[in-house]
Amino acid sequence: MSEVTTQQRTPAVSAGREKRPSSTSEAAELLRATQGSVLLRGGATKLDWAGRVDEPDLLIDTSDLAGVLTHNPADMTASVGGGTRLTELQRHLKGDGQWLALDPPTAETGATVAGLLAAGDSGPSRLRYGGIRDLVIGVTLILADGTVARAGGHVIKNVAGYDLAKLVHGSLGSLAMIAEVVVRLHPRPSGALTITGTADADQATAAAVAIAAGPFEPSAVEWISQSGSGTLLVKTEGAAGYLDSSRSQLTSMLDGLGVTTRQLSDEDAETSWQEHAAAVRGEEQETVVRICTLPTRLGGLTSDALDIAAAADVEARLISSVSLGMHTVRIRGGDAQGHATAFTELRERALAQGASVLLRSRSFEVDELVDALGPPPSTVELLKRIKTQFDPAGRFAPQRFHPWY
Amino acid sequence: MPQETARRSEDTGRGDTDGGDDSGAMTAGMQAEQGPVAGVFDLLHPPSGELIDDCVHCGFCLPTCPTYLLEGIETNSPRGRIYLMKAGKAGEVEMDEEFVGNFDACLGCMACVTACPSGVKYDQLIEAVRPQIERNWERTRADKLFRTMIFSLFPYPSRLRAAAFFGTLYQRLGLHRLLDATGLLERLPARLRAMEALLPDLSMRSVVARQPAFTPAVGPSRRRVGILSGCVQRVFFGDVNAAATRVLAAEGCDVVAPRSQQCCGALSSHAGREPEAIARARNLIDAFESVEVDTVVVTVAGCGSSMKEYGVLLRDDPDYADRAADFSAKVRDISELLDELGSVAPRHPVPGRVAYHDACHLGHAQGITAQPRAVLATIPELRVLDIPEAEICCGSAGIYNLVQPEPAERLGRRKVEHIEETRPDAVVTSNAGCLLQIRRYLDAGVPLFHPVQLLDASIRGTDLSLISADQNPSSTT
Amino acid sequence: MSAQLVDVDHQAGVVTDELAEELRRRLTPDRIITDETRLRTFECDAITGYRVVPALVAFPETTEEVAAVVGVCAREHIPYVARGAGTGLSGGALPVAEGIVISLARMRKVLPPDVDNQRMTVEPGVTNADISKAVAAHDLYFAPDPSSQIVCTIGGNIAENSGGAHCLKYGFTTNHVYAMTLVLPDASVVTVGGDGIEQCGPDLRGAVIGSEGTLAIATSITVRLLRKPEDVQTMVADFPSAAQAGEAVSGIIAAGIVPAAVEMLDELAIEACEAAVHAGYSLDTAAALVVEIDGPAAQCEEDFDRVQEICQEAGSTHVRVAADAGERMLIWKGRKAAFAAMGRISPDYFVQDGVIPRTKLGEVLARMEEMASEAGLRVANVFHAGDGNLHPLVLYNAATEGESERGEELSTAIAELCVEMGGSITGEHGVGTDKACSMPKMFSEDDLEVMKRLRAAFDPTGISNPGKIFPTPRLCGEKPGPYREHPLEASGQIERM
Ligand SMILES: Cc1cc2nc3c(=O)[nH]c(=O)nc-3n(C[C@H](O)[C@H](O)[C@H](O)COP(=O)(O)OP(=O)(O)OC[C@H]3O[C@@H](n4cnc5c(N)ncnc54)[C@H](O)[C@@H]3O)c2cc1C
Ligand SMILES: Cc1cc2nc3c(=O)[nH]c(=O)nc-3n(C[C@H](O)[C@H](O)[C@H](O)COP(=O)(O)OP(=O)(O)OC[C@H]3O[C@@H](n4cnc5c(N)ncnc54)[C@H](O)[C@@H]3O)c2cc1C
Ligand code: SF4
Ligand code: SF4
Repeated sequence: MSEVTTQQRTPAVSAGREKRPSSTSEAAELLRATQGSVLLRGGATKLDWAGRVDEPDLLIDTSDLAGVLTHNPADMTASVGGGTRLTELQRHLKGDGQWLALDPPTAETGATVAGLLAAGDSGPSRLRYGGIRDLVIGVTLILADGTVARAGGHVIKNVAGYDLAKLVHGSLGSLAMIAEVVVRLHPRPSGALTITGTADADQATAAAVAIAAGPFEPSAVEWISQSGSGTLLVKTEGAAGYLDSSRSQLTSMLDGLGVTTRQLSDEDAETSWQEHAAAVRGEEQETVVRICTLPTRLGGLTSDALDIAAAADVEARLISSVSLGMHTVRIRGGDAQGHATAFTELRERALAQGASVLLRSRSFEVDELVDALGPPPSTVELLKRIKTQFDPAGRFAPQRFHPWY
Repeated sequence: MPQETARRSEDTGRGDTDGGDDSGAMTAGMQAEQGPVAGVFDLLHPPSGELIDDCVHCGFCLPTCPTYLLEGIETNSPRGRIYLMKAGKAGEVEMDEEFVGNFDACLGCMACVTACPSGVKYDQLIEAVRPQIERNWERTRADKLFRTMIFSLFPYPSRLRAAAFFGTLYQRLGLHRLLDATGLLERLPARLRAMEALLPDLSMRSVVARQPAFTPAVGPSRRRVGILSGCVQRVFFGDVNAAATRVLAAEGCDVVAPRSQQCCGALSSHAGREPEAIARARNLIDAFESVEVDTVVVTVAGCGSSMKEYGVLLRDDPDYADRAADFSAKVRDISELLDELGSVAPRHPVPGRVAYHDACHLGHAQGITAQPRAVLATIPELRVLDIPEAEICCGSAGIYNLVQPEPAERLGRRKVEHIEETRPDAVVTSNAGCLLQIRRYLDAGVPLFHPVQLLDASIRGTDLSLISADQNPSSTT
Repeated sequence: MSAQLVDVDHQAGVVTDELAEELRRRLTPDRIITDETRLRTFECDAITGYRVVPALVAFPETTEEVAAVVGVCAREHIPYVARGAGTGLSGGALPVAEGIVISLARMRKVLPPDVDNQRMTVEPGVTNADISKAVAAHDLYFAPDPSSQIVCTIGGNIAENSGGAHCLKYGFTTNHVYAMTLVLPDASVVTVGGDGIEQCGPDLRGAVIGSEGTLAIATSITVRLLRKPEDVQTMVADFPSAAQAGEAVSGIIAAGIVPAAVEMLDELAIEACEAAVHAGYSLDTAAALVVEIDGPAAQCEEDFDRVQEICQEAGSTHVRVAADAGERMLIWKGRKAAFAAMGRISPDYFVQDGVIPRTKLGEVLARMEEMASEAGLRVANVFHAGDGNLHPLVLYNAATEGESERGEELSTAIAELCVEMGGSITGEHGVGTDKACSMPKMFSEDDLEVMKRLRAAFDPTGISNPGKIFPTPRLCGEKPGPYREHPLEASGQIERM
């Protein structure tokens, strides 16, 4: 069993409001010893997702709760401190030919494993390996009153007790602090193939449906909108023989849909995927919205987004995990009012069609003009009761899901 | 111990014994009113505790049980029934209306026997429970009357023939008259309608048809077989037995149809009327012993499965126990025998698509599923189709469609829907009951056959076109 | 600790004749059962050792009817238990005395599939196998495949987060559900999940799946459908010892191959399966591995060749490769009949469901053998070797004095051995009634207390399937066994306060 010492970063020194505990017990003690609101910070890559938390009484930085605690290559499991950066974990696993099968856009900017779980963030390869909810097999949580609780375990199959890891998935730091995470690992694929071509939204949808119906196990089917059309990126991984047969089959299949493709060299592919991640993250001053729909709704969503943006004098770009129906819409240009109008209308339209919508980053100006969460779901009363049970004093991320809970 | 019911005398010695051994003094048919009991059962072959214990309560039999499929109620499943047998045996439940109703509702299709990974012999269990109910439960007057009527009609070729001859008259007048006169209860109309709907129009030819007592093999004789003429079968399906006889002869069998044979008692036995069934079994054994055959061949699945159980049915009869076992060992379904013999007679093509329906008493009770298909596969240009949900009963099940008409109808419709999904030119099945049931709900343009009829046509080269509705044999009567 | 769980015993209402009448009116008279005879058949699930006769069984046919029955229960404080097909192996559907059983067996509608989006909505009483059957024509299927799939319901699968042989590659029920309509214990109806793969806020769908009917009743479920793989290759490799078979499993994993399934059967298990199914397993071998590889043909071929080599290197004496789909199905039919077929070799058995880290396989098998011989009992083993999920079947004869007690002890000891090895007491059957008393072996009081907070949020009065999952004094005695430090904690690899 290989072991890694907790990564040492500069200890938190800023007096008072910011703390950086270096162990689960220290973190629990800290919570027990304090009162007031708490904001949990991992890589700070998505601190503004959903409702923004203003001026917490306490900011807990998790960067010292980091490090690979256990990694048993033969069992293909690992446990890490919640503050471990994904890139660090991947580096550690690489030597054994393994990885945590996640490629979220925020990895490069320092996303931590706990932060990814709390945000439910995932990347294109969710298509093949599932999202982080599907890869976490155990968690240690610290409640607002300092209670430490474990759920799940260290084996990949386990149904004993409630799956609290799912409960904190997407909770954005509003229910409990994630101190440790146990994950299941995958072997690193022996090779990868990325092909790309120009396609509009409908062609991209048709491509995704055709690929799903074909003899592939695709790792990514992504589409990035460009004015008038877009770029399709398809990745598949595996043995050389499989990649060879996929190359020709994919090419002719996409050709049949009017999409002329070319294969990217390994370096070009790497660059393309990095650009793709950057595109999903968005840029300063943009309003970034995550919308999830039925995969075949891409065309409708794209035209809705473009129409609504045009009417509000802003620009909209989409980056879609087509087969997953997972879309990032970036609203750019124009003014804050334009962003707010476009976002609110797009959300209304999307919700009416059964989609789910999460407001990710945006400027403070936009914040003033929008309701970050929108209409409450049917589960809102239940969510309130859960919040009351887990965090009766309402300490964790008070405005995150306001006014739902 | 449950409350004693008025139906049974005081418990005098309920032990945990099966009573199999210490019931020597009792003979079949003897009422157990004064006897000791095993819970709600008397000691004359109550369901065996050992067989009950084979059930591990896994539930694998649930989805194949037609009554569970219809109701979704655990009680009405094989697992539930076995559970109640156990509880009944332990005296933890009473033999009350729910108890009896639940066993009456069982079609005896034996799909659960096929489905059970633990090899639970539900067939033996239910056959043990039914006579117990007949002995120890007082049926309502209407119920009794209806059952008596069925059993005084169907097993007797002469009465049936007469009834059939006066067909419509009998149906419209006789039956109504009889039932009206007795002022039967609410439950009856549905049953009555069911019966009427089942009564077929008969061709004179099949009504008067009688089988030759001896038909020699074509060419050298490979085997001497006796053929069961049956009761209902003999009246309504004369042409199937004629076809069977021709096919057997063509395949090198001397075929004997002993004149003295009567009903095999299958219907009685499946309904728990044990004394009746036993008497019929003895007669049939006598009849076939008198003609000395190697094999007794049957064209009706329900009869075949009962005859294969004669050994069990007559196990307590010192005069018949061994002879019954020998007899049972000789019984073969016609498809089983033909498959075993291998074909010698040349075949002519019978082009078409036929859906093969597995009769429960063939597939589940006798485990015969491959042979009929194999036999049909010898016919050139005939495509045999499997029906979705093949393991589920069509709702015919002996007299089930008469005594439980509503569920029977739902099952019948369900079966026919599945049959129609295969878009067949014709439907083939080896049991008269199934045929009758399917016929009721199936598009009249689709003919029904017994496999042996197709074989007969193929061997004789008769111009039997499945594809043309004009020559639909079921509509030419 | 803020969890406010009211012990249902203290204020439970009673099912009176009037109440039964009310329910008959709300549903229909034939869908309410109160007679003692029929009630008896609902007293247990597939674990017959735990039996409680309910006061009433209701058979709702719609979400509204489920909510109506739950509403009456909520109003009168009557505990209720949802029931699917009753194949649970942990006493999860065990009724509560004087309580109501809500059978979902009549909710069996299947809506038309959305083929392009690979999903379909079904009612909870639909069997697992029927989901796949309904979409087979589109080359789609529902991936979780518990051995009981021909009978168990999707509702039960959700409650237990069931998996099967193929979850090594494809995951469990929780990975294959997009959305659910739930009736909460206060009779409100909510939707969790939806068209979108991600939702805004906590993943309640994930929290409810695997909650063993204690949080909500699922009345409509949208499942994810997978495309059938291009190619499937299945083999059975015989080994002279279970340890060698275990080595082969490690070798396969180390080679970076993720098989669709890796199952192991020992001699006794093979004997039972063969008696039931005649699937052609060798009867004279100590252990057999069933390995299935699926996926794109080219990949499959390469991996399959490698797997065969690995098996040979590990000392396999005979490898049988399924020649066609028919043979593959037969091999699986044999494997899947394993538990149910135990009736062929033993009158009674306990089945365990412990999980161990894959690498501990050899050690645990050896320990189990010792423990069995000490107890003078036979243990048959059939398990999901790929993910370390063991199913030791402790064989006994209840008719033999004391055997049942010894069997139970051995069975519990095996489950706890799994925890000692860093594993879990249950991989797929759930905790239910059966393993509730072992929970403290795996979780600390705080762990359980926090889980109870979730329960309290869903079911503040504790009427939904009470007495399951969590150890209760009544079930486990006043002092459930003490929590022992997790071995990883003991070794300092993980930390607790
Ligand atoms: C109430 C009632 C209960 C009955 N219960 C039974 C019973 O339990 N067991 C029983 O054997 N009979 C039973 N019968 C008798 C028999 O099943 C029907 O009379 C027969 O189905 C006539 O149906 P039909 O009008 O379709 O006749 P037809 O038109 O003569 O026959 C329908 C089709 O079936 C074919 N066929 C004929 N004989 C057979 C056969 N033996 N197997 C398969 N196909 C055949 C014919 O060639 C024809 O294509 C019962 C009859 C009644 C009225
Ligand atoms: C022979 C055999 C083999 C098995 N093999 C496997 C296997 O390989 N893998 C595996 O995972 N399991 C296996 N099982 C266990 C069992 O089949 C599963 O747990 C199954 O999911 C139970 O489904 P059911 O419909 O029978 O549920 P039930 O037993 O009726 O109920 C199980 C639990 O689900 C709850 N429940 C039922 N319906 C709902 C609903 N709609 N909403 C909320 N809660 C509900 C009940 O309250 C109960 O707690 C096996 C069982 C047997 C007998
Ligand atoms: S014989 Fe048929 S109806 Fe009776 S219990 Fe078995 S499957 Fe059900
Ligand atoms: S399948 Fe067999 S063992 Fe299982 S419940 Fe049915 S009868 Fe019992």
